[in-house]
Amino acid sequence: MKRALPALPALATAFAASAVAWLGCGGSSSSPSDSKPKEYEWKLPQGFPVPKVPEDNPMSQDKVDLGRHLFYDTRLSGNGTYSCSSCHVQEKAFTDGRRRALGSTNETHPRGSMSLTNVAYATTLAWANDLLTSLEKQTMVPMFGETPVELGLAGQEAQMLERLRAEPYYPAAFARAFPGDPEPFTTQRVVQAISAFERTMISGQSPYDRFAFQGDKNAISESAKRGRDLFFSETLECFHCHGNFNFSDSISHSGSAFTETMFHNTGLYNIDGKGAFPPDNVGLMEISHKDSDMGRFKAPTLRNIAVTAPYMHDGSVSTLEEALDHYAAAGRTITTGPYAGNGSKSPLKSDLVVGFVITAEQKADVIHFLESLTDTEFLHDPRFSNPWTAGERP
Amino acid sequence: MGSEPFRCTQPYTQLGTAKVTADLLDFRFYVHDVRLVTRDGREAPVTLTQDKKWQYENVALLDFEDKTGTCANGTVDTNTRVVGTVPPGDYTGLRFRLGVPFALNHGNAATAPSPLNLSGLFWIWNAGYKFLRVDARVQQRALLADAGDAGGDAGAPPVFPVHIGSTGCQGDAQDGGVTDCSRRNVADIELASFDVTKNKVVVDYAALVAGTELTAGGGMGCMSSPEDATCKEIFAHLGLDLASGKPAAGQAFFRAE
Repeated sequence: MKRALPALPALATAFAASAVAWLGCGGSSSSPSDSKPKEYEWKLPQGFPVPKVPEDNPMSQDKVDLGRHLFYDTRLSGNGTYSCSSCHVQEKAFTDGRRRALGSTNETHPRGSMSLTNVAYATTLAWANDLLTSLEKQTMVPMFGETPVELGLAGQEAQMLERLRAEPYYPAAFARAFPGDPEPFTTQRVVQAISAFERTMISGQSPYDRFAFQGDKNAISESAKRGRDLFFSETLECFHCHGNFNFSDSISHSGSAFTETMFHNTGLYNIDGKGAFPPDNVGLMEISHKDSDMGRFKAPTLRNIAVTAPYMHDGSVSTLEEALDHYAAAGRTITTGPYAGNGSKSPLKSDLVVGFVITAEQKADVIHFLESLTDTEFLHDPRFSNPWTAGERP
Repeated sequence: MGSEPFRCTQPYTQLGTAKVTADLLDFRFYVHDVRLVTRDGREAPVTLTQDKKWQYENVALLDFEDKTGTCANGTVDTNTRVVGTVPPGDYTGLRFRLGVPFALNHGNAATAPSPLNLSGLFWIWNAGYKFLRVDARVQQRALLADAGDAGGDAGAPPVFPVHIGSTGCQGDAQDGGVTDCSRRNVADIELASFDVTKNKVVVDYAALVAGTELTAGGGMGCMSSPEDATCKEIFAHLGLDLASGKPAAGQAFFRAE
C-alpha cells in the first residue's frame, strides 16, 4: 500500500507489464517458455480489442470456472438467499427487469441493476462512481455494502468463507484457480475469481456485429440500417456518448493509452430549475459532493439494450420508445408530483442533449437498430450459465 | 451512553431531541496519531504496539460491541485500550485523531492487515473506511407512545446509522488510486487535562447525538455528506466542520474522566 517508487522505474514497469499482457492475451503462442501457466483464450468477437486485466489478477480458465460457481452461489449472501445472479440474470443480459434492484434483505436499491454485458471494458463500474475503477473494487460493494444492503455480507466474511470451504467443489477449485497460494479461501480471492468470470461476459455476436464486422450485409433489416445511420448522425447525436464498438464512451482495453471516464446529465430531472435530481439519486455528486456533478451518470453500453428494460439509473423510463422521446425532447418534462420539472431547461444538462425531430417511421428505424444489438447467443451461452446442477446449490 | 456503560443488550433512553429509546447495533471507531502532551506543550507520539489485531502502524481500532444482543454484524472481541510506549515525561494532556490516516485509508481493503480488514467498517463506495460507525435503531414502542398512536403500523423501526469517513475523494484516472479527498473528515481531538495514569477517555454516544432528531434521516442517519442536514449537530460534536470536513473546535464526543 505504501509505495514510493521513483517515477521513471514505475513507468518502465507499467510499460513492460502491458506489453506482456498484449502478447499473452492475444492467444498467439509466442511464449518461448513451456513452464508458463496456460494462457486464457478470449475467443473475442471480430473487431473487439483484448480487455485490460489487472496485473495482480491474471486470467485463467480455472479462475473463470471458479468465479462462475461463486457468481451463482447463494452462500455469498448473509442470509443464504441471494447470489450475484439474483440481480444479474443472463437472459436479461445480466439485469433483473426491475426499475430498482431488490437486495437480499428486501431493501430496495435507489438504482437499477446494471447489465454486465462487456463489463470488462468499462472504465468505471456502477452508475456514477469514479472511484470504482476495477471489477475487483466494485464486487466488494454488493458483497459488503450496507446502504443499501445487497448481498448482506458486512461483518460476515469469516462465515462466508467457512460456508465456501465446506462445499466439496471449492477446495480443489480454489487451489486450481490460485496455484501456489497456501490459503486461497480469502475475500480477495473470491473477489478476484468473480471479477475474472465477469470479464469473460463479452457480447459481440449480434445481428449488427454480423452486419458491421463480419460482412453479412443482410444480417439486419433495411429499417435497422436506416436506424443505424440516424443513430450515428449529428442530428440525433446518440453516438457521442454511445459510440465505439461497445456503444459506451467510458471504455478502455489493453491497447488504450488513456483511460476515458465520462459522466453526463441528460436532463432526466430538473426539480428546482437548477438541475436538481431526486435526493436518493444525485449521480456523481454523491461521490464528489460537487454541485456541478448533480445528475451526472455514465452512459452504459447499448448492447443487448432491448432486453434490459426498464431504462435509466432509476428505471424511470419503461421502453426504448420512451427513451427516444426523452432525447428528442432534449430532456424529460415531468408535470406533476414531487419531481416535477422541465429537464430540457436544466442548466446542468449535457451540451449534446439538444433534441431532434424525427418521424414515427424514423423512430421505429432507430429502435430496430437498437434491437439489432441483441446478442441471442450471449443470452444463452452455456459458458455464462448457472454451473450448479439440480440438487446442488443454489 | 450518558452515565451508563455501553452494552449491545440493553436499550438506552432520552437520546436526541425527541428523547427516544434506541438499541445500538454497532459502536466502533479508528484513531491514529495518538500523542501525549507535556506540561510545557510538547507532543510525544505514542508508538503503538503492533499486535496484528487491533493496532497497525499508527492506527488503532476501538471496538465496544461484542456481537451480542442487537450487535449482530460485529465481532465477539472488544477493545477499549490503545497500547503503546512514550518516553518518560511530565504528561498532562492527550491528543489523537479520529479516523484512518489518508495513506492507509484508500488501499485494497480485501488484503489490508488487521484491523483494516473488517468488512463491517469497509466503505467501498467512497473508497475508504468508516472511521466511526455507531448505528442505532429507535424503538417502535417509544415512537408510537410519543406520537400518541397506540395501534397504528408505523412500518419498520427507523435505523439511524452514523458513518463518518472521508468523502469527495478523487481517483487517479489511470490507476484508480485515490489522490485526495475534498472532505477528509478526520477530527483532531484534544483532551487538555489528561493524566494517563489516572484518567480514562469516555466516548459518549448520548453527547454525539444531542440535538439530533434520531427518527429523521429516512434510515440513512448521517453518512458524512456535506449536503445532509442530519449531520450538522453530529459533526459539531465530533469537532468537524460539515462544509469543509476540516477540524473545528467544540467536540463533545470524547471527554476525560
